[in-house]
Amino acid sequence: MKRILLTSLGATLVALVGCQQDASDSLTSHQEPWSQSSLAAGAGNTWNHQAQSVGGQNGITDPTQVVLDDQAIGTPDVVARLHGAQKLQYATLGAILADLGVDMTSTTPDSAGDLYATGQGPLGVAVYSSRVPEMIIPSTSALAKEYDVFAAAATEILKSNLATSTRCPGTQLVDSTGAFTSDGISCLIGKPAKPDHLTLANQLVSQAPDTATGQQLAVATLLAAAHTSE
Amino acid sequence: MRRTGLTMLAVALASSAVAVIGCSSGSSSTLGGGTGQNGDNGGGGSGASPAGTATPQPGPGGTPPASESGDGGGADGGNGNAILDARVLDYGEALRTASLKLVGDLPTLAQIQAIASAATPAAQATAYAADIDQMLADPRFTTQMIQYWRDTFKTGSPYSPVAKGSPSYDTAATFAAMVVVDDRPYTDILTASTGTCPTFANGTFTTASCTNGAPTAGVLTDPGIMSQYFEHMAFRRMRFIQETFVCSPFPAEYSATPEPMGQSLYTSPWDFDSIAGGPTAPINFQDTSAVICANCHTTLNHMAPLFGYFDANGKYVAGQMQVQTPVTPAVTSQLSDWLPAGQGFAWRNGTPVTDIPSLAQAIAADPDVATCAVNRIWDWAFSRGDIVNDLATVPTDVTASYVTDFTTGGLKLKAIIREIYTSDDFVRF
Repeated sequence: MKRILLTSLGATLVALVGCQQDASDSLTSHQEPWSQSSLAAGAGNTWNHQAQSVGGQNGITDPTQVVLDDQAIGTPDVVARLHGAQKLQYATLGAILADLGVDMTSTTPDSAGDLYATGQGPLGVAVYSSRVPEMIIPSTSALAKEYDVFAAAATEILKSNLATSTRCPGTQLVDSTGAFTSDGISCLIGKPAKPDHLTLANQLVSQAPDTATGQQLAVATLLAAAHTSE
Repeated sequence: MRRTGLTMLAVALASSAVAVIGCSSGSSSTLGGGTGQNGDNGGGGSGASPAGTATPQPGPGGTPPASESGDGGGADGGNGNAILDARVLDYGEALRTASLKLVGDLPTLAQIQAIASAATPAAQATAYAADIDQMLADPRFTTQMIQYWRDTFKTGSPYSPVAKGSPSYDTAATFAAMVVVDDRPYTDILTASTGTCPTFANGTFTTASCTNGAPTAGVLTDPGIMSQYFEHMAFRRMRFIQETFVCSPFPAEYSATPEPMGQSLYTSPWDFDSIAGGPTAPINFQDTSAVICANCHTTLNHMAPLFGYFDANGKYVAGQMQVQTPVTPAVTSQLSDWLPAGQGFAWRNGTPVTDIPSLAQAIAADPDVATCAVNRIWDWAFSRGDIVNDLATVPTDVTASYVTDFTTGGLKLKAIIREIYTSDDFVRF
């Protein structure tokens, strides 16, 4: 607590003596306490520099930590050549699910469409009015919301069974025996399905209390696993 | 309740599956000893010797084999880093990642199957390169580019209507996307003198010029940008230009001979008194009592007045300053608030300009701007975050060959996007 107080005081002092003009112009007693312009970083204050990117716009909390994290991986050259883990962009998530047969315009409570439409905040949509672009890191809230959407979408995806997919015409996700197909899973995850994908999916069905639940779990799981990041 | 339970279970299962499937990407042989049928080039298990990466593979599109850990021009410095060496060639994963970024959707099953069924890595590379070309020609690429520029410019209005009286916040991103999609020189984004406020609907650009009365210079005079970055003395607009197009924060210039001053060092190459300051100045930019304001403001103040004529809605009012100097009460800024008499405008020390169009030309000619454009594409492709705000800096070696190709190839950003998305680094995970 003491440290926080000292830090705050320090920051205020730095602001006060920083680019000095009439240094007391916006912290004088004639101003309303806590009015916008009374704050050291208030819009009416000389020291209203645009918010510094100490935190980064994508949830990185400390530049020093970024450097340390990178150093733990390798040289800057190495770090730059590695793919990062980016969350699916909001519009992309919608496009993928719509193609898989999910009604993204649904307003039925707890439907995938509803969760998607009302989940813009957790899903990291841009807030351009605050000069914040769409978040790219897969934050806990984004992933949790994404998993909710996938779980809700699974039923609709199974019902449609890829019949309306423009990406995967003529493909079935589940065959007439109730087993997942390799092509169907490839369509779901967007890359070539491996035998293990198929094994895991069908294993989930066989271990579930009933086939429908097992299939839903399998679809939601595959989607969540595949689309945790781009 | 049932849904909640299902969600929890799915999340739990997904977490396991993520660990098992997701992170292993191409090396999912950890699950079953995959042998390359899915584009992982027969890679071994995670952490194993990078099977399939010991031998250089043909480059995309049938190009000659590239170096193992870097593209043709950018090796990893020969440090033999185990992490780079352990990456596995995976065109299936690359196709998915590229598709999500370039067209905003997963690849088609036909594309997935073509990669999976290709007999050799070279054949996979060929199929993959063709897919990239197809994506770059896809109308959805335009939409993705608009979104890319919205996020780069940190402005746009895709989800919410614009308030009455405000300008469109989408025209800058739309114009920048149009420059890329139409294969125009990248510098048009900065210097175009007409048609810089287009709209995009139903897959088509409609060219239009901005109507805010400004001497037009690409997006620099876009009303949405000017409105979005409105602030006292136009400094926020300067920061937009510096960080967006040069990829570094202020201070932007450094002297070879910094001098001790106050509590710190004066590092700018400008004369210290080239900016307003002193006890009678409204803002003492020459203050040294804590930080050295002039380290940044010598650069800032030689440009900012040019942008002081745009009001809060991005309208240009010739001859009449629209920004304020933050004294109490705030007053309309005057040129002398930024610069003492005799000082002119400049992009950098030694690069004088006279107006916004000439400033735009100076910016466009700055080699750092070309490098920045390429590095931003690199970071986008590799999901690395914002190059400034997220400290996602790119070492020179990594993109040097792309920068050369960019500058010698007419500054066509789409060509660089293709190069990066088909690079050896991009297709390895």
